[in-house]
This record gives sequence, structure tokens and C-alpha cells, in this order.
Amino acid sequence: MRARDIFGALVLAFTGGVAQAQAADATSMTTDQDISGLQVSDPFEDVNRGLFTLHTVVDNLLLEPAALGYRYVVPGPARTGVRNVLRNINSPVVFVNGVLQGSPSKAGTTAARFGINTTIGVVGVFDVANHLGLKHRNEDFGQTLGVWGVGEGPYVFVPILGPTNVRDGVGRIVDVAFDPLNYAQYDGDDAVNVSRAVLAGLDAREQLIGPINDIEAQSADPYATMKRVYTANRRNDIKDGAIDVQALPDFDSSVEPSEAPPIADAAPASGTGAPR
Amino acid sequence: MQTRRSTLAVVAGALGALALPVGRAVAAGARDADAEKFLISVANSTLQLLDDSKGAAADRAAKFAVAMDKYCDIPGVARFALGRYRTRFDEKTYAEYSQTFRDYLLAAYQGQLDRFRGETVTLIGSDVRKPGDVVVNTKVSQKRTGNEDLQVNWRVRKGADGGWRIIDLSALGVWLAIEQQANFAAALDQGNGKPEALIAYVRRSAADLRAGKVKKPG
Repeated sequence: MRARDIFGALVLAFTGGVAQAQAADATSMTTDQDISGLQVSDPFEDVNRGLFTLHTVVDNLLLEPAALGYRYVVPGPARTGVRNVLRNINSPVVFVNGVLQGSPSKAGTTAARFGINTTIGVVGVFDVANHLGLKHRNEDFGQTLGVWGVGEGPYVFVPILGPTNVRDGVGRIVDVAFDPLNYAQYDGDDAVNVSRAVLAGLDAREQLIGPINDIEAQSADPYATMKRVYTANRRNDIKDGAIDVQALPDFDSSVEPSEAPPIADAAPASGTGAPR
Repeated sequence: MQTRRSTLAVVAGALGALALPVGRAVAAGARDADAEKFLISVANSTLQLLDDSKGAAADRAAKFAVAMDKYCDIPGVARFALGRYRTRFDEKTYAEYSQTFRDYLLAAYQGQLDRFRGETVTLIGSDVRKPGDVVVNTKVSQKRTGNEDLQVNWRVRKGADGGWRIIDLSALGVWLAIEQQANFAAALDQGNGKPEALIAYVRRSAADLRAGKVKKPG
């Protein structure tokens, strides 16, 4: 099968899944619709919360300590070098998604970055292209689907990998197919691919030490906060930072007493369970 | 974000029936130079204030509080953060909540903005939501950490006295006051809707933020 046929089959399979999820959403009691209007479909909330709890245990025991160790052992400039190499290796995926999003400037910048950083930047350790004004872009197939108008589908929390949704989860799988390193065969290719995955995980978790600690410390419901933050980040990525100001809630609308929710509404629609 | 769909028209057509309007087209709105001038001046002076190593930490906190009271609509943000639960608070509990919320907001914002102390805020543009309600788009340098500039958007509103005030800010797609509103709703849900439960939660959060404590789950 050609890549285009595989891609087409995946998209149709996925959209079938999204259609089912959307039908489920219509009757789901657990769609998270908070007051300000950030709607996140979460029909699998009970399962997601269980997986989030499991993940938190593993994260506290393993992932965060490993990331802290990485931060302690590897100095800042070296960590930056690692991140630059990882980004450089990922350039083909970013390039393909730039093309698919119909954005020649994104694709062109990425190609130029790859060329410059791989050569002058010493296999990508030094982000020389950034100093030349060619900024790093982070594009993936989940964003490409979003640009094409495909909805997020239900929120899914995957232990170890973290928050995602059906569309972005499919996107990650397709990006694996876009990555030439996953096809290349050479001596030690397995070791390289495993090392790359481990380093990418350490790098990602190390960057999130502060934000995740903030969420744990300041949130009444870290699961729900992470869901909203992840979703908001992704929507922002898809729009490349553009803001629809009309979608923001009115700031000065005062609530009349007649609009107050009845006391029975205190039962959590977001399924927060027992009070803390 | 609009794309050329010529080569993908068939797939896009199939998806079209199921598409949700996530990537809405953002119409270019009008700008407001007045709001932009206010925001750039206040944001830069506040980051400089936080970087003033000559004074003691307590002095910096006091100066920051004066700036926030002047340039940020704290009472408005307090009311917004309650959302539709505002009517559960009588006059007395609301007054207590407002005072506690102010302490919390000062601690939270100083903590967040301190990461950018001494950095520079550069104007990108602005977008008028409606007259007197503007989103100013900026980028903030991160020279101390060596990271790329961060896009930060500030929502400013003109008060009855004609002065602009900051009511919200966002980075990476997350609006702080909107997130606070959702977080407070969760805290109220857990406290069975009781105002006292929220006040206790906000007081605890403010104390933790001031102490620099990080709570671990479990």
C-alpha cells in the first residue's frame, strides 16, 4: 500500500471513531462545560481519572526523579544541545506537516533550519538557524488535522505519555510513519531509536517540572486543570497563537439572582468525587 | 488558519461533515493605540520593579502590590473568578472572599511575573473585542533563561474613570482569570458549594504561594 493509501485509511478509520464519540457526547453527562466556555469533551472521564491517578504514582516514583536527576547531572547548555539535536532530528516530520497544512513558509523555514543546523550547527547541537532569524516550529499531524478542521474528539489520558485526545493520538501514530529515522536500517539503529525516545522523554519531563508542580500545588482538581491546559495549548498551537477575541467571555456581566444555579447544582458535573 | 485544499479536497470533503470549528478564522480587528501604550508602559515598569535588587524582598512585594492595585482590576477579577456562583456569597462572605482573593492574586501574579523580572515586553499589536475591551499582544524576552521570546497576551479594559486596567493575561493559549474561574468552580464543587470552603481554599493557596511550598498529591 502506498503511504497515501495508508494515510487515507487511517483518516477514515479515525473519523469513524470521532463520529461515534460525537454521538456519545450528545448523551454524555460528563462533558466538561465550565462557566467560561472552554468545552472539553471527556466521555471517558472515570477511566481517565483512574489512569491519571496511576500515572501520578508512577510519575512521583520514577519520571519526576529521573527528570530531576537529568537536570542535576546535565548542565543547562548541554541540555539545550540535546533539545536542539532532538528538534533537528524531528525536522522531517515538521516539514511534512508544514506542507500538509499548505504553509510553504513553515515548510521552507524548517528545511532551511535542518540544512543549516545539521551542517554548521554540528548535527543540530547548535541552533545556528535561530540566530539567523529562522525560528523553530513545532508542527505535528494532530495540528495538521486540526488545521483541516477535524475536531479533537474525546480527551484521553495515557499513563506515562500524558494528556491527549483521539485526534492528537492518531496524529502521533501518523507522525511515526512520517519519520525517516523509523525506516532507516543501520548498525545500532535500535539503540539509537531507544536512546532518542528516552532522551526525548527526559527532555520533555524536565521542561515540565515547574508547570506540573504549579498545577499540583495550586489546583483544586489537577486532573481537570491538566485537561483544560492541554486542550488550550493544542488549540493555540493549531491557530499558531492567533486569538479569537470574540470567543472570550464577557468580563463585566453581573449575574442576577434569578440566574443563580439551584443548590442541587453543587453536585460536581466534572466528576470530582469526594471533597478534598 | 486557512489552507489551500486543492490536492486534499476529497479528504477534506469527507471530514467536513464531521468537522468542529476548532480552527476558526480570526478576523483582523481594529487596534487601540491607547491600550497598547498603557500596557507596554505598565508591563515593562512592573518587570523592572521586580528586578530591583537594591531593596528588600518585602519592599518589592509592597511596591508590586501598589502597582497591581493601580493597574489591575482586582475587584473585577475577583467577581469574574466566582462566575455564576457569585450569588451564593452574601455581603459579609463576599467581603471576606474579596480580601482573601486579593492576597492570593498578588502572591500568584508576583510568583508568575517574577520569572520575567528585568525582561523586556515588546508590542506585537492589539485586537479590539469591543470598545474599551482590548487584547494587547506582546512578546516577552527570556534572556535570563536563554529561551525564545514568549508570546503573552493581555486583556485590558477601560473603567468608568476612563483609565485602562489589566483584567487577564494569557500565554500558550491559557487565560489565567478564566482558568481561575474554572478552578474555583471545582473548589466550590468539592466544598458542596459553600462559600466558606472556597474562602478557606483561596486562603490556603495564598499562604502556600507566599511560602513557596509545593504540595504533593496523596
